[in-house]
Amino acid sequence: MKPSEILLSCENLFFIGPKGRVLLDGVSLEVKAGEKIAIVGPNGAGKSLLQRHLSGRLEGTSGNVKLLGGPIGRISPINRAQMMAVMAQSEHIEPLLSVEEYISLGRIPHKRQLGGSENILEIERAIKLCGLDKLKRQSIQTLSGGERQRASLARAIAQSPDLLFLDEPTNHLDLRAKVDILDLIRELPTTVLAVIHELALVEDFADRVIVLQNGKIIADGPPAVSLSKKIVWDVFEMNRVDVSHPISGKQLKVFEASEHQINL
Amino acid sequence: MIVRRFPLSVVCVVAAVILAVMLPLGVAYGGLNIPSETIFSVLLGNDLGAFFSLEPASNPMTKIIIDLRLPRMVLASIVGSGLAIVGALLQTATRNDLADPFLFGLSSGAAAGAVLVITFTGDFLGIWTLPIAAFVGGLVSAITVLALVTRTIHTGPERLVLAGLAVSFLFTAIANYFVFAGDQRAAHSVVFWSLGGLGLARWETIGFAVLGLSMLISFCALKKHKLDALLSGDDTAHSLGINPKRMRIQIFVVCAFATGLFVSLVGVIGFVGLMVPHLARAFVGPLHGALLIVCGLFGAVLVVSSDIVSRLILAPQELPIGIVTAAVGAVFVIFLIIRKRTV
Repeated sequence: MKPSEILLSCENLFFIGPKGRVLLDGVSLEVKAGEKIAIVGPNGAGKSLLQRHLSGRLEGTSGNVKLLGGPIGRISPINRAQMMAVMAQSEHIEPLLSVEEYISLGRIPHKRQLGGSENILEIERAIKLCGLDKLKRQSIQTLSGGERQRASLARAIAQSPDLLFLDEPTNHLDLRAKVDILDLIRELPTTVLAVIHELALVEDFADRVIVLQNGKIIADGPPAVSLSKKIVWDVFEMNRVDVSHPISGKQLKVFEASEHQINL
Repeated sequence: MIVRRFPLSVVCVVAAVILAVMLPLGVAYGGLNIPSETIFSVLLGNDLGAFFSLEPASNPMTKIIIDLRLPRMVLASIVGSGLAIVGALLQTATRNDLADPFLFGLSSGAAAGAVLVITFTGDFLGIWTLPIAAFVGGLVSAITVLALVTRTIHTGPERLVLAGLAVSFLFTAIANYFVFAGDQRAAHSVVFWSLGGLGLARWETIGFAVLGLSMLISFCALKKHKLDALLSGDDTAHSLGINPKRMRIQIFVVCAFATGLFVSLVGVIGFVGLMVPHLARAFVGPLHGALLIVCGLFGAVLVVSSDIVSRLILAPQELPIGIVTAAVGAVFVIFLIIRKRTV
C-alpha cells in the first residue's frame, strides 16, 4: 500500500440512536495509508461509536463508509478482516485460552490462503513484538490488565492488517504502561486509528488528531492544531498549560481542570 | 498460571481404548448376563465360531445380542457423542458454563408431544409414533425458543437461557395437564422422556441418531475456526470476519435439530452435554478442533458406562439412565462451583 493512498473514508455519516438522539452528526473524514490518528473527545462524544461504524461493526442511519474506495458493506467479511483489525475494549475472552492460543485467533482470516508455518511465524512475530514471550503459555485469565492489553494488541497485530482500530488501548494501564503501549503502536508499520483519553500522551503518538463532541467533528488536523488551547477549553473545559522540561527543555503540555479559562 | 494441555492423540487413544472395553461389557451385562464366549460366537457367526471351538449360541441369546444389546450400545455411543458436542457448541454460543442441550425446553417439548399422542391418537404410526411425536414436540419447543431469541439476540446470548426456561415451564405445564386430565399411561411416558432410557434402541431407528451426529460433525468440521473466533468476544469475532449473531443462530438451529433427533430415540439424558465439554476443555483446551473430537469420545464413554450402571444397579429392573447421569452431574456441578470459588 502506497503512503498517502486513501484507505478508508466516510461521508456525511449520521447515526440516530434510541429516542431519536443524534449520536453521529454528519461525520466525514479520510484516512490515508500510514497515518497514526487519535480520536479524542469527552465521554459520550461518539468516539467508540464512530470507530464501530468505520470498522463495519455498525451501519449508519445514513451516509457511507468506504474501504479502498468501495462500500465497506460490499466487501466480504473475510476480505475485510484481512485488511483491518480491531482491538476492542474489555472483551469477554474465554478464560481457559492460553496467551498463545488467544493470539493465534488473529490468523483465522488468513487460514485458507496461508499454510500452517506462515501462520505460526506471524503469531511468533506478534508475540515477540508485544513482549509476551515469557507469558505465552500462561492462561489469559491470570494476566494483569496491562499484559492483557498487550495480548489483545498482539492478537490484532497477528491479523496482519493494513488498518488497525484501537478502542482505548491504554485502559486499565498504569502511567508507564500507557507510554510503553503507545510507543509500541507508534512504531507499527500500519495505519492506526485509536480512541484515546490521555490528551497529554496524544502528541507523542499521533500525527493527526480528530476531536469529537456530541457526534460532530470539532477539529481534524495535527495535534498542535486540534488540541489548541481554545479547542481544549471548548470541548473538555480544561486549560492547556505549556511548560518547558527543566532539564531537556522539551515543550510539555499539561492539562488542568479549572473553573475558568486562562490564557498563558 | 501455566496452561497444561494433554496431546490430542494421547487423549483420543485412551478414550477410544476405554470405549472399546466398555462396549463389550455393555453387551455382556444387564438383566441377563451373557458369557463372553456366547458373545464372540454370535459376533463371529456359527462357522467362524466353530473354527475357534466356540459353541453356537441359542436363538433367543442371538436375538438379545444382535437385536437388543448391540443397537443399544451403538445408540448409546452415538447419542453420548452427539449430546456432548451439542453441549460444547451451546456453551460456546452462549458463553455460559451451564448451557446444555436441553436449554431449548426440548425435554418438556418431547414429553408433551409423546403424551399428546398417547392421550389423543394412540400408536397410529406403529413403533414410529412415539419417536416422531417426541421429535415434533421437541422441535416445536426449540422453534419457540429460537423465535424468541432471534428477536432479542442483539441484547446478548443470555436471553437464550431465559427463553429456554420459560418455554420449558410452558411445555411441562402442558404435559402435566394431559397426564392429570387424561390417560394414566401418559405418566409413564413423561417419566421416560424426562429421565431417558436406551430401551427403545433398534437397528431400524438408529439412522435418526446417525443423521443427528453426522449433521453435527459436518457443521463442526466446516465451522471450527468460526467457533474459535466466538471465544474472543463479539467485537473481536466480528473483526475476524465472523458475524456472531448469524453464527449463534446457525449453532442453535443445528443443535436443536440434532438434539430433537436424539431425544426422540432416548428421551432426555441430562448433564452429558453439561459435564463432558468442561472435562474435555481441561484436557485439550477450548479450541474447537481438538475439543469437539474429545467431547465426542468422552460423551460416548459416559453414556455407555451410565447405561451399564443403570442396568446393573437394580437388576433385573432397569433404572432410567437420566438418574445415573444426573447423580454424576450434580456432583460435577458442585465441584465446578467450588473450583470457580477458588480460582
